[in-house]
Amino acid sequence: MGTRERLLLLVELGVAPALVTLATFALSFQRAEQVRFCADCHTMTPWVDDLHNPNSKSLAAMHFSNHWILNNQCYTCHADYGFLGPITTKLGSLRHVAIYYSGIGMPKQIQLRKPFPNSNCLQCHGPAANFKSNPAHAAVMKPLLANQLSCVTCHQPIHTPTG
Amino acid sequence: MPNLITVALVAVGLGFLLAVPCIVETTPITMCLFFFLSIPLFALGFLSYVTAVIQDLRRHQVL
Repeated sequence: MGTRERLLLLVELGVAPALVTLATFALSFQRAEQVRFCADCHTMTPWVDDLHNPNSKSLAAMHFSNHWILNNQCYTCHADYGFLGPITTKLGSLRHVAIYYSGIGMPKQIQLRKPFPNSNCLQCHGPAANFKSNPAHAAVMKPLLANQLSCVTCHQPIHTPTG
Repeated sequence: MPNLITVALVAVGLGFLLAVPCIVETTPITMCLFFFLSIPLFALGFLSYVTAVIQDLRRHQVL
């Protein structure tokens, strides 16, 4: 094998796959934030149907139908806010895929694995004037900020079906 | 052409083929194909290539 042949093979077997991997990573992670991607899994159908139901009074459906969140509505609420949020969310999604295809640890009912963090709501609502000036919020601001009292304790239903 | 290079070319070729559906349309299935098959095949291809190069250099007593 000559040096030229070796270099050509390095491009074919090292550089090109690395570039394709990087591009596909970026492209697929961006697309995976869209509601359409979440709707691809049949287990999510009831939740996505609720989003598209104009008569639904669930928080998720109202956020969706009123365009309170412009894009990537599932991801915006379910990706934890903060620097590591997108990474932990994507790792959690890989875990979902592994459970789905292996069947190991499959829950009987779909539900959140951990309490919903208030920071996911407060990333948008926190700075809003009508949130800060609401006396009901002002009374419980400390436990809200400390995640000791969940926003969804009062604001229900989140999804119909619940989960 | 050494066998390892053939293995590397086939692995990387398959890796490219399995990455195409994910590039065209990203769905959970195409994403799984890319993450769980394409990337390991790319890694296998690259490792096979490196091994073949090392063997070749040793044969020529460069290493």
